[in-house]
Amino acid sequence: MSAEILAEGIGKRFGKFEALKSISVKCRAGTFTAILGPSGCGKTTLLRLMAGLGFPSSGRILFDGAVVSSPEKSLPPEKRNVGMVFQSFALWPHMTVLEHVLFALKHHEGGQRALGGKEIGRKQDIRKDAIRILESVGLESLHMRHPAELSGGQRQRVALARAIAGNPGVLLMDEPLSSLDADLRVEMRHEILRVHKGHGSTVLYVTHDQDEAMAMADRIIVMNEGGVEQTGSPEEIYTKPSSVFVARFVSKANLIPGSWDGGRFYPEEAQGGTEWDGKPVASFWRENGMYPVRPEQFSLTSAADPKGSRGIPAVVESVQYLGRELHYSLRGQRDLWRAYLPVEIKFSPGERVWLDLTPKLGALGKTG
Amino acid sequence: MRKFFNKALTLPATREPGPHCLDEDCPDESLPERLRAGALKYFGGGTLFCVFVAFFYLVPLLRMFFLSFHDSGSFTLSVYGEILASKGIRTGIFNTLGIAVSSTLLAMSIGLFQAWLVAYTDIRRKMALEIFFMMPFMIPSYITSLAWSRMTGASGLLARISGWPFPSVHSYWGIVWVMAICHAPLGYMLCLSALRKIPRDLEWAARCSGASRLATFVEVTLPLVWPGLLGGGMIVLLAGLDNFGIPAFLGADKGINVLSTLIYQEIAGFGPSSFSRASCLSAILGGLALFCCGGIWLCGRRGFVTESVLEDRLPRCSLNSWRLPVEAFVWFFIFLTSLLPLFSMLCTSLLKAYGVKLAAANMTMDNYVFLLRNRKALSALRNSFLLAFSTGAAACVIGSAAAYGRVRVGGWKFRFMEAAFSLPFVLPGGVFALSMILSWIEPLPGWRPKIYGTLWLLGGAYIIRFTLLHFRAATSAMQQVDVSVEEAAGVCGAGLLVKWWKILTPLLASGLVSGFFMTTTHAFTELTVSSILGALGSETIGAVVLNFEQAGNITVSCAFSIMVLAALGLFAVPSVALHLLQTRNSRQTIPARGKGSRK
Repeated sequence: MSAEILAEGIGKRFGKFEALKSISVKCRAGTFTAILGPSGCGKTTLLRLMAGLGFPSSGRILFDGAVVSSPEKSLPPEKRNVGMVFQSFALWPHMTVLEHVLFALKHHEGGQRALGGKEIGRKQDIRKDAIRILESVGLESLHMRHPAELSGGQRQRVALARAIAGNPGVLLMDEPLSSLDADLRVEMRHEILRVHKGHGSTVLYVTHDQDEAMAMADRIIVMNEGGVEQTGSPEEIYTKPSSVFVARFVSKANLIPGSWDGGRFYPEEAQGGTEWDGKPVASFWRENGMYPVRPEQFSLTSAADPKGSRGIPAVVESVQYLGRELHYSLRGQRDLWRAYLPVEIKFSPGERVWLDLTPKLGALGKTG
Repeated sequence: MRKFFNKALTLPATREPGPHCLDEDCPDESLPERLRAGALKYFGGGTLFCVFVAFFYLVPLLRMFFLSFHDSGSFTLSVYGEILASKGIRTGIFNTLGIAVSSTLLAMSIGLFQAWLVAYTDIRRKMALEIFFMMPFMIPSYITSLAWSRMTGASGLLARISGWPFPSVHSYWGIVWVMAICHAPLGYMLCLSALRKIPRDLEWAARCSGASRLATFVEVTLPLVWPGLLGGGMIVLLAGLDNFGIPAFLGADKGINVLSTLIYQEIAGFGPSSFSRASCLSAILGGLALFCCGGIWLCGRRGFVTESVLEDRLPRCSLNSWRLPVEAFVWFFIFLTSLLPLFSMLCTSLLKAYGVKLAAANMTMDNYVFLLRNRKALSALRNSFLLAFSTGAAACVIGSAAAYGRVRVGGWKFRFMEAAFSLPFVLPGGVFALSMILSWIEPLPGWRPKIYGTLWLLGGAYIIRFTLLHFRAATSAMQQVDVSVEEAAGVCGAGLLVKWWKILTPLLASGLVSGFFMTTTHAFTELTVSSILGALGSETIGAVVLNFEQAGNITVSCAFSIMVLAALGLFAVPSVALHLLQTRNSRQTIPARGKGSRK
């Protein structure tokens, strides 16, 4: 069961503060959409509006064509057929794992329909359903435990099981992995994707972690300061950022100032006739005299190397060894650039180097 | 239990509705809009509730304040002038201040020492010590003074056993001493939480920076505890101004008066201008109390917010070879100040007549038999039980509703309510009682309900006075339930009724029930308000003990006190059971990201 989500010009004000500035979003039924943005960008507020926990100041939200939220009328969460995983899990300390799932099964509109409405009274059936749901998240053996007797990852699974128990059309997740430690987070990504595949709800997933968003989502909505910066597939967002914010926040790109001449880009500080191919770059960058270069796109040659002498002159400021690669901080004339290079290419702090686009990779987005 | 008193008595205890929003820099208003809107619907937008609260909780106090400036219908300061001209009243004011301040200093010193022992040192049997340090708090102050009066003095137990003349507590310094003993637990609790909240790391950091043990204490620990101590001192001072039982039992026969006993005498005297004179005295005493409240508020604001949420319970300081002597001293102190007075009272209650020799031949159960046949005593017990439970129930409804609003809705209306609940509680009992009389003679123009002297007025007064206790207990219980826990119920499809029945009630139950018993205990042993509002037939146990004592029925008053203590013991049973339940439940609270719903 899945529903299409449509938000039209959603705005939200808290007093003078504009938390959401006329946001329009469409998620096709059954898709997995991540809302990515730094803290305070309004992503949680948007999710709470979707759940019916808050009221929009303007615009409206439709599930499968029916208005659920508008400034005049807003359905309460229990009438929306949604599931939600809270950042703090929000488990009920006095209930066992099984009771959590039973609660959602008993009270959820979708759950009632799935059980055939009248058959609610048949305790055994509900129980069987609950156990089946717990099996799908691997918790069936722990079903008599209280939340306090579970580990972080297990609590996360309970929250997930409870959210999907009612067979909701829309599954909302508010930074569900942020309270877990790093290894568990990666494991749970797979778990959530698996549950999504089996279950098929339309998922709206809020996160500030771009790895998480890229690894899981079909589509990413990048938000900043209450507005949508860019919407697209993970690859589009990563390789073709269309704003300064997305380039910095998602691709961690260096924004090289320079001048454009048709399809060619001439970096301002570069010497030796450096020119870069501008074909793969969004038009935004042409209009603003910049070129986004992701750290792994840079190549470095030593200034002492006679063959070199082409590119942007810089001095190595610091090097971090990260096993697979080396992270360089490079001091240009005005700015500090970032470059990630394979461990074989070694420079020491203080060394003078030339910065250029890696010839092999070409410019941004040869892949896209 | 203790944690509770603490919460109930520390004025600035409630924190603002917490950071429910999980985006850190998201504004406060974003919070639980749906819950807020739902709650507001039931409060009638909060306004109706505010009007109700203002009418019952604030208007009487304001009326009394204005009445103190009235004489035969015109605004005047003449009553104040008349009062301040009287030497007896001037002495009363100085006595009030002198007794309150010196007993506060003494109580805080005792409390600080006890708290330091329990919080920081490796003294043994801490559990038992904590219970005994708290014991005087559970016993009403008039019973404590009664007990001390039986132990000391020329005919007291100590003098009889040893043969030495012991000074009587029926004196100025006796009052100070007994008041200090009664309020030491208050000082102890406040100091204990202040001391425990100081993160050990701060002290270690100071030591690592090269500071000596002493320098660390003076330069790091002390500045951090100071606001807490000062605020605690103000609360103890407030209790000292409020206290009526101790000076009434110990000072009356020696002519030592304080403001609270003067107010009682004015009203009991029923003179022509007694109400306006009493109003003036009340306004003066109320002013002093509000001054203290201001101090408490300032200290609360100046207090440092340290990041350590969890209290640190491991000993930080070893007593080494001092441990045994210190332990011996502490237990001797407990024996002398807590157990021996009660034992003296018990002995006296078994004597045929006060003053006869303490011997088996003079022992009798007659006093108890007399009480069980005495109509006045029995009706007092019945009244007090009735008042206690109805007060507990009513305060539970009003306090819980307001607490839900305060925690989930917030805003000035609910802050106003909190202030309105606080005022009748922090103002001295006599002041409050007088305001109830004055305003319920004719609460609305043309409406004279004629409830003065009945249990109805007394019951209403108790509810108004003690709502704050339940409000605080309910607030702290509700703050421990994270908003998302409540919202999750809605998202899972539960409506309002199901949410309250299946989620909120089980989570709040233990907090609300212990709030109920705290309110009940307070109402059961109350003396000041009932001595002024209670008339023939509506006397409470406190008033009856006072009557017996004033009539010279000393053995009977002791026996009745023992019976009251036994009844209090009955109240303690559910409280203890509840404490056990709570510890079981606290195992179940979930730490979300190490903060949030954890206690």
